[in-house]
Formats: sequence, C-alpha cells, structure tokens
Amino acid sequence: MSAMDEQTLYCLRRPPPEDFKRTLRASLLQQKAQAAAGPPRLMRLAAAIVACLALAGAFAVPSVRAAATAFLDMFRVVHFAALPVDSGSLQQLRDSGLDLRGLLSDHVQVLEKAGPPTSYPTPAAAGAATGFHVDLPSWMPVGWNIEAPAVSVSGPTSARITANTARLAQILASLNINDVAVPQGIDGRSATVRTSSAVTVTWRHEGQTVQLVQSPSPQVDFPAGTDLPALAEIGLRIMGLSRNDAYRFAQSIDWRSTLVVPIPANVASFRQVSVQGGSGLLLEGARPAGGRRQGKAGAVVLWSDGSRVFALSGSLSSEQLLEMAQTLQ
Amino acid sequence: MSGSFVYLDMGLDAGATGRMMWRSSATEPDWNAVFTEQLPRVYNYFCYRLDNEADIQELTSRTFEKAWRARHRYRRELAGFATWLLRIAHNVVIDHLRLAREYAPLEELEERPAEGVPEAEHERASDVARLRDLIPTLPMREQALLALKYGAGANNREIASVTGLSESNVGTILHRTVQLLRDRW
Repeated sequence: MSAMDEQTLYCLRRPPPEDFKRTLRASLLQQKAQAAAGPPRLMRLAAAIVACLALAGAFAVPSVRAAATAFLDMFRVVHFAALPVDSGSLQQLRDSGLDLRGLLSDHVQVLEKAGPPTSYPTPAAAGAATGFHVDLPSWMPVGWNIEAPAVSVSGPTSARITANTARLAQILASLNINDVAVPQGIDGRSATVRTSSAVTVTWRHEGQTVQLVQSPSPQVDFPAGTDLPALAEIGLRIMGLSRNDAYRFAQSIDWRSTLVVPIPANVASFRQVSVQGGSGLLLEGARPAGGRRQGKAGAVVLWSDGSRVFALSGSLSSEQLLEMAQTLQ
Repeated sequence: MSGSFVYLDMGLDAGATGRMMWRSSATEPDWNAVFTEQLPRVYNYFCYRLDNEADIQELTSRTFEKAWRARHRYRRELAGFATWLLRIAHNVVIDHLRLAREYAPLEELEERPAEGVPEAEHERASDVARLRDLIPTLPMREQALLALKYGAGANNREIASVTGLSESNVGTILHRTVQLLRDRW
C-alpha cells in the first residue's frame, strides 16, 4: 500500500464496461421509441396574466403563505393561479381597515373551529388520526434528517358566510370604485366553507426549516346560480386591478376549482411548475438587498393532486424544493 | 418539448467535445454529448458510493432513464445539465441506500492482489481495498462529497449545487474529510 496522496483518492475510478454501455444505450433507445409512439408531452403554460410580470423587492414567505391560506378558505382547489397585485393597493386596503371576510358579508358564522394544533410522534400516526395517508418526500438535501420530522395536525373548520350587497356597495364606494355593479341576486344568500384536517410536517437543520402542509381540498358550497366571475371581478378591483384586467382575469379563471394566490410586489418571482404530473405554482423569493451572498430567501411550492392540496415551503433553493415535491409518495 | 436522443442519429462516437453541446433549442441538450461525457462521471460517482458492480450499473441506468423521463423539467438557467444529472444520481443513490438500510459489506468486493502480479498492480489493488474500507466509515454527507469530487470529478461549485451546501462549506468539509482519510490510512 502506498502513502495516500491526492492521486490515491482517484483510485476507485474506472471506465464503465463496454457491454454495460451497450445495454444502457439499448434501453434508452427503447424509451425513445416508446416516447415517439405516445402522445407528446406538453408543458402547461402559465396563465397569461401571470406569465410576464416580474416583481421586485424583499420576499416575505409568511405573507404569501398567509395570503394563500386566506384564499384556501374560499375555493375548492384543483388548480393554482398567481395574481400579481400592487403592494400599494394592498397597503391601501390594509389602511382602510377592511376585512376580506367581510367583502360579501358582515356576518360570518363560524360553525366549527380548528382549535390548537395537535402533535403526533410520526406522520403515520397523524395519518391515522386524520383518515388520509400522509405523503412524504423520499429525498431531502444532504444533511437533513428526513426521517425525524415534527408532525402536527390542525383540525377541520367550517363557516357560513351570508352576503350583504349593501355592505359590499358601501365598501366599493369607500375605495372610490364606482364602475362595478354589485349583483343583487346574492343578497342574503349563504355559502358554506369547510376545510378538513391539515397535517404539517416540519424538518429543521442548522437553523433552517422546511415545512410540508397537506390537506384534503377545502369544499365550498355555493348557492346554485351564483355568478362567481362577477363576484371575483369585484374582489380583484378591490385588490387594485384595473377594470379591464379584473374583467379579463375573472373571465379566464374557473372559480370553482382554482385557488388564486395574490402575489404582493415584495415577491421576486413566480411561475407555474409541473409537480408529479400536475400543475403547481412556485413562488421564489429574492435575497434582501445587501444581504449575504449565501443567504437563501426561500420558496413555496403549491400544488394539488385533485383531491388534496400541498404547500411545501422553506429556505432551500427552489430546485431543491421542487425535487422534494417530485418525490412525495 | 420535442426533445429526442440525438445520439441515435449521430452515433456515440461522434466525438467528445469536452463540454456539453447544446442544440438550437434553449433547453435541449445534445444527448450524444450527454451520454459520451456524463456516463463515466455518473458511473464513477456510484463507484464511490456503492461496492457492488451490479448496483453501480443499475443506478447509473436509473439515473439516465430518470433524466430522460424528466427532461422537460430541466431548466438550463438554473443549473448546468451535468449538475442536474449529478443531482439525479445523488437522489437515486439516497433512495437506494434508504431502501437497503445499510451498506453491504465491502469485503467481498475487495480487489485482492493475485499471486504473481507486478508490484505496482499489487500496490494499486491494495490502495483500492484500503480506500473501500475507509469510505464507509465516513458520515453519509462526507461520502457523498467524496464521490462527487473524486468519482464524478465535480468541482466545489457543482457539488454545492447538487447538495445544497455552500461552496465554501463544501471545500471545508472535503478538506477535513481528506485529512481524516490520511490519518486513518
């Protein structure tokens, strides 16, 4: 045995066997042929309204997450769409003291409260408590202990919202929005929002946190005949969109299956992504101006498998979060 | 995306360029170059992570097959294709090791020098056996970094991209790891 030098560390290297190369090539050939025979895979394009807008400024994942959560109460989620909103408009909305829950009603009746989250020793135990299988990633970056997450469950919630058109007209007037007609047919009608138990799995490593939240899709019962695009257009105007943009966006969305995530101006970028064959939304943060070069701003991946919604967030790179999302099972 | 295995048309001996070739499409790699240049890197990455030749070949195959299936997810602006491929290899071996739960004994694969071989070959075989003994004694993260550096020939920046560590951290860990191996040699 020789003394160990740098060259010694390369001693395990060897060329791949020729027969192996041939076999692998044949295998890939076969896949290529199968791909050619099947239907072409098409990348799903992001909605036109979110495709070409670049937003700048510091990123605050919690604010985005909070916004997403607020909207999760409002729609049954199968798809996600990003809605860029002007931070000035949002600030104006906050300064006005308006409550988004009060847009359609001055009366929200809470039927069931979630209560404080309950901790469970394992994801399987949380799954047994909630009645659905808790999906977990099979990959995390090196150094993370994938097998020892903290697990908690938030209980189901439900609420009944009763529309009050007079109140809505009053809010619009206070924001100087005078070119929107409030649909009178909704006055006094109710919608019931039900959210199921949500499982939160949290990993921590060297001061960083990655969190996966999953839950059966929230269900909202709307009165038959509710003109959702018209109501959505009002909401979009209140959030600062112009008349034309609000109309086009409202008409382009299936409001019965799409979760609209408002993206404040302090979010660096967002894009539609493919997660396990379905479409999802990736929100990426920008590093704070003058921040450390190696600092990670974080990202959030939102997606649905048709029956459940998932949110994976943390201070990993967006590529790593996406890789994690792809390995969920 | 209209990606296809270009090497089918060009042949695998079309010439190694030393750098990844790209077609006119913004994100479509030249799969001929991918196969020619990256197969040895991926294969040797697994040589440092696994002791069994069948497993090495299986995981190498799995990596290329996954890359092909996931080609529409590759985004050139986020990482070089070689780095992306190594990341897939890295994930593949993590999955494999998780399923295996424990490393297989290495003794059976030690390259024991045969009688009558020249001294230089004796020495090399001895080095190989010793290194194979030592690598599994390292933590998994250090094993991964060593495999990326000396097996796949990745630089610290590529390793950082694959593992999520910072580039300076990669350099520090590798330095310590090599020092540790020297101490135990």
